[in-house]
Amino acid sequence: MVLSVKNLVKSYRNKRAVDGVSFDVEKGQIFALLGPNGAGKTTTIKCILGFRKADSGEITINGSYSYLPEQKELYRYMTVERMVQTNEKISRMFNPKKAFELLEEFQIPLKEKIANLSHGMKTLAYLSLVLAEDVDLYLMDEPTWGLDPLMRNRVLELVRTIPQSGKSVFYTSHILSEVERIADVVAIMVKGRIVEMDNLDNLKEKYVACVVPRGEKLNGYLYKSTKEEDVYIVKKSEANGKIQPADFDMIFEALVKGVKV
Amino acid sequence: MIHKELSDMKLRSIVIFFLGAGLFFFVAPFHKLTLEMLNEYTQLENMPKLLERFVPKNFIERLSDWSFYIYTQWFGKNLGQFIPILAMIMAFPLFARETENGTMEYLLTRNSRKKVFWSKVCIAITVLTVQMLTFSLLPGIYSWFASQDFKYEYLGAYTIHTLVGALFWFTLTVLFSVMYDDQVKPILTTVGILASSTVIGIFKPLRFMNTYSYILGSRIISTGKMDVTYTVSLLSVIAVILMSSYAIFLKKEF
Repeated sequence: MVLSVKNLVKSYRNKRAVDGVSFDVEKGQIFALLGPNGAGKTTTIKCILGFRKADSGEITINGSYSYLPEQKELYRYMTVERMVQTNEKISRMFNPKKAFELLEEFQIPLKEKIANLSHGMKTLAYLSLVLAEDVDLYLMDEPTWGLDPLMRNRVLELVRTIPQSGKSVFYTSHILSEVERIADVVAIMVKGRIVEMDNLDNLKEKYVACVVPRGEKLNGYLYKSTKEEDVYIVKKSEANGKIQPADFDMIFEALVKGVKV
Repeated sequence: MIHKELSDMKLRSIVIFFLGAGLFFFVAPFHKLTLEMLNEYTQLENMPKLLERFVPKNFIERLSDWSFYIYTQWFGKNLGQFIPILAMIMAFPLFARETENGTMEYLLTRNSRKKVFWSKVCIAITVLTVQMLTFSLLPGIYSWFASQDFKYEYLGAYTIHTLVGALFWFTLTVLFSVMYDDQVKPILTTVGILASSTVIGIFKPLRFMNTYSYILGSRIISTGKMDVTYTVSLLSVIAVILMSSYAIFLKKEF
């Protein structure tokens, strides 16, 4: 196990941003923390890294780590090349050769100042620094946000190859499709709590969509209502009415809406 | 860390260095001109009363002595007035800029809080010390080259007053740079404290609050000695402020 979080609680004044979150990230695993904006994903990752002090709970990181923050901010006055050189001096596990290879692949101009890069280019430059670190765990907060589809695919491919060398990835996102593509384990976080966590295939197996006449109650999550029918996402064992397969989008949406009847 | 920190403060260090050195060369070479101008004023029949009050005739006579001139006009006026401001300029972005720009996370992922704090503070203190030493030793070096009769025995005391005064305002600004998340508040707060402590220091029982009378070295010129008690007190306050800043930085959330 590379990362273990037990009963993590973090509040901001009266608001509980993270409410008793627990999970483990195993060696060679891609763990995705999925949730809508404001679910508490970034706070969780910041507590793991010690940027925010948890109110309670236990966090254990076994090994070295690298982090891609939500705000991809680097030193604006430096050129990309200088940023790599600076990173080499600051970080002990950094491979500048790999960083330059990634920058070349992402077509980031080395002589350009960070301040002049677009959001997407800045993300790719930061990713190059993070992925060039030889660490046990890569923590990434919304790594593909703002990237064009081609680059997003390439980044996802790169992330997907990380576990091949026994390394792990802790990944937060609100984009279902990319989580579906790369994650081994998915935890769905809503309003500071993890409402579901499992292997992606198990998760899809676990739930079905049940269509029942409007007003009929089922032990599950109300997905949508029409004039005559209600559609619930329920666990297979609780299924009733007209049963249909539920895709990951439907499961996620129903869980996020959180209308449990 | 050293390389990055030096890069961060390169521009403002160079600007401060040239400002300080430039200011010195507006003072030192104009000894005779200053004297001539002041003497012309004193010879006026209707000399302005304000000038008479602030620049008494005996003071103008003493200014003809090179040592008195350079100590009072450089340490006691031009450099001395700017020391707190120069120290603030060196300190205010140290932590606040990283927090404001979101690069603190980048640093703290790669280094411990302890290393980040002490690297930043120690490198900035080293640069500030070099600047203050240069500015303090300039009169001595200039006097030697210009073959002026200079009383070197006071230079050590003035240098210590300059250095300790600069360090005090530096560490105070560092404290606010750690506390606040933007760069404007640390400098505004410290400038506010500088202004209010100087005003409060007008009242006799609170004279110690006015760090300017220490930095400008009025006691050195009158007694010929360094103010040991005030120096030790300021050094103790500097240590307390620095440790408080460190404690706050260790607990700060980003």
